[in-house]
This record gives sequence, C-alpha cells and structure tokens, in this order.
Amino acid sequence: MLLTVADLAIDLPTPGGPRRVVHDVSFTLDGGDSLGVVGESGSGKTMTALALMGLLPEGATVSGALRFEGVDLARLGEAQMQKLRGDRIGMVFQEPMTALNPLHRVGRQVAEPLILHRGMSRSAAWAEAVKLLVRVRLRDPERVARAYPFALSGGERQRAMIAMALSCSPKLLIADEPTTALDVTVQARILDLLATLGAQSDMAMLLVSHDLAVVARHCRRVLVMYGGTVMESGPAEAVLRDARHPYTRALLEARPRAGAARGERLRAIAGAAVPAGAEPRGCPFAGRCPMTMDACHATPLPTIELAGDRRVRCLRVDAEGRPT
Amino acid sequence: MSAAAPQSRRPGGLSLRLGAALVALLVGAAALSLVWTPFPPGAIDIPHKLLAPSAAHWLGTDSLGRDVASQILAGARVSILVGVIAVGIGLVFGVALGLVAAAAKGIVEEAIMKLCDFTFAFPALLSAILLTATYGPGVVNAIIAIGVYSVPIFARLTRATASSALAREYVLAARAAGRGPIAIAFDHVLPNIAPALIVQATIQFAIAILAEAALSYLGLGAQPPLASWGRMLSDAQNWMYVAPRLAVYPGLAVALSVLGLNLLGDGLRDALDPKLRARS
Amino acid sequence: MTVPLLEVVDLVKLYRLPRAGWFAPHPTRRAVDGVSLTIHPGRSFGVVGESGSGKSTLARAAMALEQPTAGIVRLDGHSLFDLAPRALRAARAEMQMIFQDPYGSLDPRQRVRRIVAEPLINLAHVTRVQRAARVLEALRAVGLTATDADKYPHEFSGGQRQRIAIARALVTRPKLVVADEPVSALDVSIQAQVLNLMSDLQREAGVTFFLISHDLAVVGHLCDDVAVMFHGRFVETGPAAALFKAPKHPYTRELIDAAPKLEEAPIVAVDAPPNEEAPGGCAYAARCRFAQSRCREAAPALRPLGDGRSVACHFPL
Repeated sequence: MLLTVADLAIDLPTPGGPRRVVHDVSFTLDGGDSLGVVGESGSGKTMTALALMGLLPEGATVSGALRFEGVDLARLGEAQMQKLRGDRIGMVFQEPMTALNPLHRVGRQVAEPLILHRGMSRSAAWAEAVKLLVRVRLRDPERVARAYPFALSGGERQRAMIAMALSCSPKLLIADEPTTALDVTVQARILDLLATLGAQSDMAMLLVSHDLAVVARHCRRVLVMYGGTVMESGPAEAVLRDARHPYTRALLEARPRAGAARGERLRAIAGAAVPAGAEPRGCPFAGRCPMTMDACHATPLPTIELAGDRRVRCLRVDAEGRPT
Repeated sequence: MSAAAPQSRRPGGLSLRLGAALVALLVGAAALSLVWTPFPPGAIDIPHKLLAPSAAHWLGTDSLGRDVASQILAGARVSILVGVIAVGIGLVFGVALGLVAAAAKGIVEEAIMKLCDFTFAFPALLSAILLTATYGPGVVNAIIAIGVYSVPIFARLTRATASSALAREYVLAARAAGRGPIAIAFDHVLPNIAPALIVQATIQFAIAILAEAALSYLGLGAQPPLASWGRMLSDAQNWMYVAPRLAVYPGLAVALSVLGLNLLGDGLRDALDPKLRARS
Repeated sequence: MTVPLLEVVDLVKLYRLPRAGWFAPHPTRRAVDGVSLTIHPGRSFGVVGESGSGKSTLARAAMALEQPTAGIVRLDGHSLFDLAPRALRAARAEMQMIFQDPYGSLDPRQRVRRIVAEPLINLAHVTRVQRAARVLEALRAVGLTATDADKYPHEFSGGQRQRIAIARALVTRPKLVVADEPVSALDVSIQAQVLNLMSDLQREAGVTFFLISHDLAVVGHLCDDVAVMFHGRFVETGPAAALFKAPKHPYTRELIDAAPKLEEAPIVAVDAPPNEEAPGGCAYAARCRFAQSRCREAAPALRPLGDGRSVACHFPL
C-alpha cells in the first residue's frame, strides 16, 4: 500500500489553546488509484492534504500515522520532507498565479525539481521541461517555457504547474482544488488531463475539492469530510449515486441543477458549518442534520463497514447501511 | 512542527502602554515646565557652573551655571511644539495631496508624485539648514523647514494606501449606493488608511524632534535663552572630558522621547484595528 | 407594453493597452463589443460567460459605475449617462448591486448597521428614524437579527456577509438588483441558502435580478431570460429553460457539456488554441467544432430565431 493514513488528528494553536481541526481520519491509497476528498470550508480537507505534504502552519501538531512507502511522514524533519517533495510526492495547488514565481520563467520553474532531485544540468533540465510541457498538452511549449507566468492564461499556468509536479515522476500527486480558479471549459480539460496522466504512469492521485461532481467523475474513490472528520467513504460512483450519510445526501440535494424549474426551492442545509473542533465529542453535523437525535451530540461516531468497501459514520445508519 | 503556542496579544498591549507612558512623561514635562521649574532655565549663574548633581541641582549645572534639570523640562516644550506643528503641516498638506493624486490619477497623480520626488532629491537636513541659514535661525523657521519635508512623505504614503483602498470593492459599493467622491474619501478611505498615517505620524514626530535637535546643535534652531535639547548637546561637546554627563541627559531625553513615540505608534495601530478589538 | 426596467443599447467598452513602442498605435481590448439587452420588471435576466467574456464590465456599465466608450443605458426610461451627477446618484435608489467577494465588498471598519444604511444616506426623503427602521427591516428580510447590526464584518462567515450585502442592496427597496457572481465564493450548502433567499425576494418583494455568473445552474435557477456572452458579445439569448434544453450556439453547447455533472461524464472538447483576436471573423471560430471558412471571414450578427430566441452564428445548431 503506497499511502496509509491511520487515525490522523491535527491540532492548530489558537489564542484559547490547541484546537483539533482534523480528527480520526483514516484511509489508504495504492499506486494507480485516485481518491477524492470532498468537503466544504472548515471540513479539514485542506489540512489533511497539507499534513501529507508537511506544510501545516507553524505550531500545528499531528498525531496518528501517515505512512508513505513505509515511512511515517509525521516523524520526518523538514530536510527529509524537502527530499520527498517534488520527487516522490508532487503537489498542485489552487492558484497557479501565486504558486508560480512571477519573476522566473516558467521553463526554469518546471526544470527546478529536475535539477534539485535528479542532479540534471540546467540545459538538460530545460530540454526535459519542454518535453513535459508537451506531455501536458500545451501548444507551443517552447513559447510557454520562455514566458513569465503573467503572460500565460490560467489554464496554461495550471498545466505548467502540473508539468512541474510530474517532472520527477512522483508516486503520489496531491492536488488541492486544482481547477477551482479556472473557467469551467478549461476545468474539464485539466481534469481530463490529470486522469489520463495518472492512468499512464501508475501514479496515485489525491484530489481535494469542494465540488462533488468533479470528484465523482475523476476519482475512483471518495472521502466526504465535515467538521474535521470523515463522514462517508467508498467508490465514488456508488457513494454519490446512493449516499448513505445524511450530510452527503444533503450536499447532493443542495446543488442547483441546470434545467430545474425557475424559482424551485433548493433543499438547503439550515444553519452554518461550525468551525472544526467546536463539538469535541459526538458528531460535528449534529444539530444541522435533519436526522439529529439527542445521542448525536455526545456519542463518539461509530464506523459502519458496508459492502463494496464503503464506510459510513453515523448513529442513524444501521449495520446494513439503511437509515434508522 | 513544534508544539509551541503563539503568545496571545491584546490589541497594542505592552507597546501601547509603554509608549503611552513615555509620551505622557514627555508631555507632562513640557506642561510642568510652563508653570514650574526648579530654577529659571535661562538663569545664568557662573559661580555655580559645572556642578555635579546634588540636592539643590538634581542634574547639576552646565557651563554657564544654568540648572540642567530645568533646561531638560523646558526643552521638552520646544520638542513637542516642533513635533506637533511640523507633523501637522505634513499631515494636512500631505494627506490632501495624496488623496487628490490617488483619486485623480493620470497626469495629476504623475505631477504630484514628481513634485514629491523632486523634494526628496534634496537631503532634508541640508535643506533645513539652508532654509534656516537663509531666513534666519529660530524655532519658527526650523518648524517650517521640518514641516515642509514631512509633506512629501505623507503624500506618498497617502497616495499608496488610498489607491489601494479606492480599488476595494466596498468603495465601488459606496459609489453604487450613490455616495459622492468627498463622502467616500471621508467615510471609507480615511478611516482605512488612518492606521498607516498614525504610525507614520509618530515616526515623523520622532524625526522632527531629532531634526530640531540637530538644527539646534548647529545653532540654527531654538536660540538661547530658549532651552533646547539639541543646543544642550552642542554645548556639552566642549565639556566632554570634564563633565560627560552634560551630554547624557539631553541625549537620553531625545532617545526616550523617540522610543516612546515609536512604541506608541505601533501600539495605536494594533489598537485601532477592529479585527483585533475585543471580540463581542 | 410596460416601460422596460433596464435597457442597454449597443454598449461598447474599450480599454487602451500599453503600446509596443513610442510610435506604435495603442492596441485596444474590446471588453464589451456592442451589447444590447432589455429587462422587464418581474423577469430576471442572467448573463453567462467565462472569464474575459466582459460580463463584469457589462454589469458595471449597466450600473453606471463605468463610463462606456459608446452606447446607452436606460433605467425606467431615463438615460443614465445623460443625467447630472447628483441626479444619477438619486437614481441609484432604484438600482442596487451585490458583488462577488463577500470579504471585500463590506468596509471592515464600519459596523453592519452603518454598512446597510449607506444607500439611504443620500435619500433626502428618508429621516434618520426611518433609516434605522429600514435597516432592521432589511436585516430581517435576509435572516439576520438586530444584534447583528452592531457587529463588524469580520465577525461573520462568508455566507452571512453576503446576506449583509444583500440587505444593503435591498434597503432602498430598489426595482433592479444587479448581482455579479453573488454565490461563487460560497460553499454549496450556503449557496443553496442564499439562492433560496434570492428566490424568495423575487417572489415576495418583487425584486428583479440582473444576474451575472459563470455557473449555468445558478443562472437557470433564478433567471427567466438568459444571454450567453463570449468575447464581449452576446452569442445567444432566449428564455432560460428553452436555451438550456436546446442550445443553438456551439459555445453554449460547450458550456453545458463542460459543466461537471453527476449524471453524466462531461464531454471534453478537443484542446483548443488560446483565444486569439481573429480579425474580422467570428471570435469563437478558432475553438468551434463546426467552424467553416465563412466563420473566419465574417463575424455573425445576433439574429432572432423566433420564440424570443436569438443567436449569433452562421450555422446555428
């Protein structure tokens, strides 16, 4: 198993003491597989991805196991993490304009991991970078390599970021909202590109997104997070077509659908998401959940294993996955 | 990934209190000197010159027998006067120019900024010296010279911060709500750029005090019998081997005032930020 | 036939770009290239487009927040750009705006009470007492309370801030509310709440929305009529339901296909070259699956097809 995360918990320092923003997160990811982590803001999905990359904010503490290729990432020091980043673990972020250095040419940035991790010479790395830009389907790769980030479109910049992330053929690609800042037509192409590249090279992909549909189409498995913990997980198609957890169902029903009648009321989820860690015991969704009962506030969530590698964490779901 | 928690900071906190205390000391000294000083600051008493600190003269006397403590108190008056008026000139004209530049943009903005650049091209202190040497030494001319040099500093700062504030969506929302440009400047721009201006004002105040001390040191600022810390430093120079303490007292007075103002500026900026105010 | 609420006629907005050399001409970017639309009271209008389509510029010009290079904007029959500044400010009581960024559109140094009251300040006929009452009325309409009025924006979440922005837009009881991507920055569950609120306002308070969005589903949810914008021009217009069910322009088809849906896989168009300014021809020709030589030579005009639909294409679907 390439990546095993077990009982991950992340505490962030706050003026009032450490706050647990992620708790009890466990999942596995094998080479060639793709996992989507879906959640709204405050769900803890970005923190989880940052923990894997070793990029949590100053003062954060991590407990639990993050085993990547047998090594526990949480125990590694910064120097060792730097060796992994860009080499065995590739990362793509949301905002290509801020993730790329505006003062360096794109080609140089794409070549940087090659120089750093593979010890290539500058010219050899540049040539390889251009080849990578071809691989991410950029037209006129020479022009893109010579350009500065501001001269490129959002889609071109993101493709360059992907080229950079893939330069050393990482075993794991972590993409945090890679297409959220892009137009929908560009988004479709970029996601398609990621899926194809992943399939070509037996690379594992962890895709973090707030958009269920994006995850449904491009990830084989999905993790639905809320309030810092996993609510439901399983094969993407199954989970999203036949959601068992009240939160997943509510999320699916809240989306406006093109073609729906004008003015039709959406099934909104009442209230606002509590910041993760506010509800120390019990279910974070308690109170907002239409199926809340008293026990939900105080009882720790069980993990119910269902057929087809599915898991649901809810007190109102029985052992067969049916609502009680 | 350490487990240390960051120190919690109440808005301003230590900086604000310490700064306010030092500035209060400065203002208090000046106010006090208006009604009472141990001895008349300008009273020359040659037989009692260069005395060490004693019960009668708390900080001793200078080369002309004048009581040092009284001069320090009276010197505070001059420092504050110079600071307030010079910074006042800088704020009023500088902020006005900066707002006009930020709002008008185009050629007006260019012209105003070039004017500021032009002023910066002249070394401030040398120009102050030139002005006071040409128009005669004295506190008033010193204030004007220092004030004029504060104007471009505030103008630039205002233009930069106001431009960024004007680009914000809440300004667009105010326009959509039907507010005119003057109303927007007072209601939305000034309150949002005020923190930066306040910090700069305290820094400029400190610079004004230093500049006044420098000018007085050169004999171009406050003229005797008006007490000034700069002049005291100048006098002390001649007696460095005999009574070095004569340089320490005014030097310390300047240093503490400048420190207090800077701390106050930092503290105020934090205290004025609504985000850091006590949560409701 | 009632007087249209908002009428835009041949709006053009050009931006001058820095020139290549001292003697080279300034290239211009045609952000809005001849757009006309009519919004009738009670029929909300949506503009769909991606980044660079000019839709935000169109919204700002319609609100008279930007001076267009050419064209007329009429609110309730009055041409906005012909009004004196004071008269224009008074006219703004009828027309308010909601912005995309809930974090940037509220002044962080003002309390909510003051923010929501702002559009009322210039209305001479509203006294201070009435102003306070209207502010509370507006806050209640968006689901906030009187205690919220004394707080600062940073004490609220994104969704709540957007509600404050909506309350501000409603306080003058405007006829038209221009909403520029009002829910894009919000989470799905909050988006649904805000969209429901906007639907309620349409139904109960008779608000007409001029909605700008890149999200077809959001536009379809709130709008009766839709226009699809590409490169500064409308490429297709018509009633929302009909347009989404059977689009006539290849770009509309591309947008509908590309939107991520749970029900089917998005159809990914073949990678296209970046949008270059094709002089003279249809701006979409470079990307269009069905482009022919005629498309590259002459730009098609927006032509009515009947049933209230229009399309700018030589070979409509």
